[in-house]
Amino acid sequence: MMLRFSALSAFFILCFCIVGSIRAQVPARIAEIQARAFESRTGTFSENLIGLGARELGNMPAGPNASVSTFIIVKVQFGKGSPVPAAAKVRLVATESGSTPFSSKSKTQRKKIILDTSSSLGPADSDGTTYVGFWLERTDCRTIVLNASLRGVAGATSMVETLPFTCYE
Amino acid sequence: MQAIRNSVGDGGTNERSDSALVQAILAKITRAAAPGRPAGPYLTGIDGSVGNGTKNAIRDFQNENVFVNEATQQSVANPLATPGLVRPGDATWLKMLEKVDTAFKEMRVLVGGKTVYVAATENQKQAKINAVNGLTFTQVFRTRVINCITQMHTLHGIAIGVCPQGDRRTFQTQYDLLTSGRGVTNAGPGESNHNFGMAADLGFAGLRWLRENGTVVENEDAWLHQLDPTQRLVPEALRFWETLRTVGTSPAVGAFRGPLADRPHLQNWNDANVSMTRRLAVHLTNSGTMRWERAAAVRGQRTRYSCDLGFGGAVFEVGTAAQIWNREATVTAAMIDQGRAAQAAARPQQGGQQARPALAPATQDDVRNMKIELRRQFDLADANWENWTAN
Repeated sequence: MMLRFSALSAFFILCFCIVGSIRAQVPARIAEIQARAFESRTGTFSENLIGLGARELGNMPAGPNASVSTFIIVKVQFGKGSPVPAAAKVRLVATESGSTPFSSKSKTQRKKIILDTSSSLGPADSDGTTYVGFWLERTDCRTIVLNASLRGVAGATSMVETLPFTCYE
Repeated sequence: MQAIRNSVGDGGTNERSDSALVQAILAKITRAAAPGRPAGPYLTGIDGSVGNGTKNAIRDFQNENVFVNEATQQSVANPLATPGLVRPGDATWLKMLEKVDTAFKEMRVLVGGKTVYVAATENQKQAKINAVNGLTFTQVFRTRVINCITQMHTLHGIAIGVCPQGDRRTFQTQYDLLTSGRGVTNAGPGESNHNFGMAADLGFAGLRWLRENGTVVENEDAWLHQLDPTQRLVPEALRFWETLRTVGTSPAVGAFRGPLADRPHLQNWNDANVSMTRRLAVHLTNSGTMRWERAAAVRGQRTRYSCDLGFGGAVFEVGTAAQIWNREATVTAAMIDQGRAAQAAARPQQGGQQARPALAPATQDDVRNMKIELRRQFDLADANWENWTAN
């Protein structure tokens, strides 16, 4: 009986270790990109413009919540108990494209990279989650595609989000 | 479900919009699993073009649903259907309507287009109307906006709505747009028809349309960024904008279009012969305590305004609407001196032929205060927006 109990305990401990090991080996990933418009008249940040259905980004430079710059927050997950590699960095490339099709001076403009920078990571919380911030200086009337990728970590994935800004008369 | 106008399939007319609608229906009918084939749609491509894939999908559907005895599963003839072809109202069409997934019973496509969309519900339309009731318009124009939303839903099953900042725009917001540096507008504060609650920008937020692979776009925004990601007005997006303009300017709605390129825009009057700058000068005069005129136009320059500075005599050129709004009017001490002198000269003298007392020359404080006063006149016009008139 005692032997059976010990064997059972050993089995469960083994399972626990395996599960823990698997969890620790969850590949590091970009989990989320948030974008919060900085409102120049109030000095405050908007709700997250990505997701939550907040996709109506028209005439952002005008009105009581006027905004011409946006703070980007990239959420990175390494998995519980995993160390944050010293070499790990988040690279964010922000590309502006499209035109302002409904304005009197409408013209198609070329794509333009408005930010391409890499940032080191700070400490992660107990779940292995850490956040990195980036500042986009001119975000007003053209669509911006954000491409966040994790560097210095094997097997890491990237994430792409779009901020569909537009302006119109 | 919208009806097809002509036949689709082998030897059919195959109009693009009819073809896209038939393809969409076949993409939204779940075909039972069979040996070697999991359950799935009859077709996965919606491109408005009838090729072998579409023809085969129509035949497969007919063989399993039209030319079959449902009780015995034996093949039978059906004189009300044509092999390989879907005709308006025929047995194949009716069976497709019966079999299509419930969530896709009401699909539409604009004539000539290939973008199939799910018709908006009555509740979705009403939500857009409720939103309009919370926005700022004149009452007359609000009624037209609501009529436009209703007509778009009735005729096309689309619940359009007012874009963010698509209702009445304050002079300050107009100034912000003008000075954004993106060339969005040529109109300064008080020079846009948006400043008077009689214009609206409408869009397609929430439009649920089917991608070519049959998946439904659930996050479309007002300007169709999903359909037209780079906002270059691709033909499929342009078709929606043109439909909106056609409905908005129809007799049933009675609105008018604005600038040709400004497709989301509808307004309450025909501005073909309306000078917004001249109307602003009139509105400033009617709203405040000074007399305003539009200064002589100079090619290539923004319109400047002239004002009597409240002295009741000659008018002086004091700058563009943007300059005046930003308290940077081009008023000078000499203008104030001139205005004061003319005002004094016009007053009846008291005490016979005694000489008038000399007026102190205007100071820089006087100039600064006049710039503030000119801006206040614009504020008064902004607050009096409901009394702006087009003639």
